Amino acid sequence: MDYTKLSDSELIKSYLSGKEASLEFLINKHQQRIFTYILVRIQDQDLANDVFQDTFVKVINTLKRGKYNEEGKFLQWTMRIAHNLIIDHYRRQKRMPTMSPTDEFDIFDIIKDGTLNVESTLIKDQIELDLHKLIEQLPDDQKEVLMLCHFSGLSFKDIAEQTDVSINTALGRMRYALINLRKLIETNNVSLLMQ
Amino acid sequence: MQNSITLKDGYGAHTKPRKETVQSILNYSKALEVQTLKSGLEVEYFKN
Repeated sequence: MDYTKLSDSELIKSYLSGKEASLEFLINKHQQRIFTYILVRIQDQDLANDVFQDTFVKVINTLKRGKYNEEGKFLQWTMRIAHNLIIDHYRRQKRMPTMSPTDEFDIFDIIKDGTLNVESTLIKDQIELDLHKLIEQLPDDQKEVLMLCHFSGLSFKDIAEQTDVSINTALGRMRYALINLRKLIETNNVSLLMQ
Repeated sequence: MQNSITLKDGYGAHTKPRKETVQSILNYSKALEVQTLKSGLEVEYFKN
C-alpha cells in the first residue's frame, strides 16, 4: 500500500482496521514537528523522548477505544496532547524540584556513605576497646563524670545532681578526666584515630 | 545576510525521537488490545 497518498484520517482508519504499518507511517510523517515542539520546551533529549512516547501512548489508547473524533486534525490534536504532557512535566518538577550533577558539582562528592566496611568496623571496635581500658584507669570520680557525659549524654547539671556535687565540681572532674586520659593515651602510645 | 536561529546545545541536529522510542510506541500499539464486552464494559489487555 502506498501510504504517502493517504490523508491522516485515512491512515487512522487503516490503522484501526489492523494495519500497524499505518501508525508507523503517521509517526514518521509527524515525528519531526511533534518532537521539535516538545524538545524546544523541555530542553532535554531524554525527557523529550519520554514525553514523545507518552504522547503516542495516549494517541494509541484513544484511537483503540474509538474515542478519536477530530477528523482531519490529527497533528493539532497530537500536539495538544504533547502540550498538556509538557505542562504536567513542569507541574511535577515544581512540586518536586530535582538537581542533576554538573561538571562543577555533584552531590555525591559531599555526601559520604555513613555505613562502615568490615575493616573500618573492626578498627572502630578496637578503638572503643582501647578507650574503655584507658578510662578504667582513671580515678572513680573522674571516670563517673566522663561516662555520664560522653556515654549517657547527661548535661553537667544532671551529672551534678546524680553524683550529688556542685556543677563546678562536676566540670572540674571532667577537666581532670580529659587531662589524665590524654596522658594515658600518650603513655600507652594508643592511637584513637580512624585512618 | 539572513539571520539564523540556532537551537540551544545543537538540538537542531536531533529533532527526531530516537529509533528506540518509536519502536517502543509501535510495540505498545501491537500489544494493546481493547475489546468491548456485550455488557458494554471496555476491557484492555496486552497480548504476549
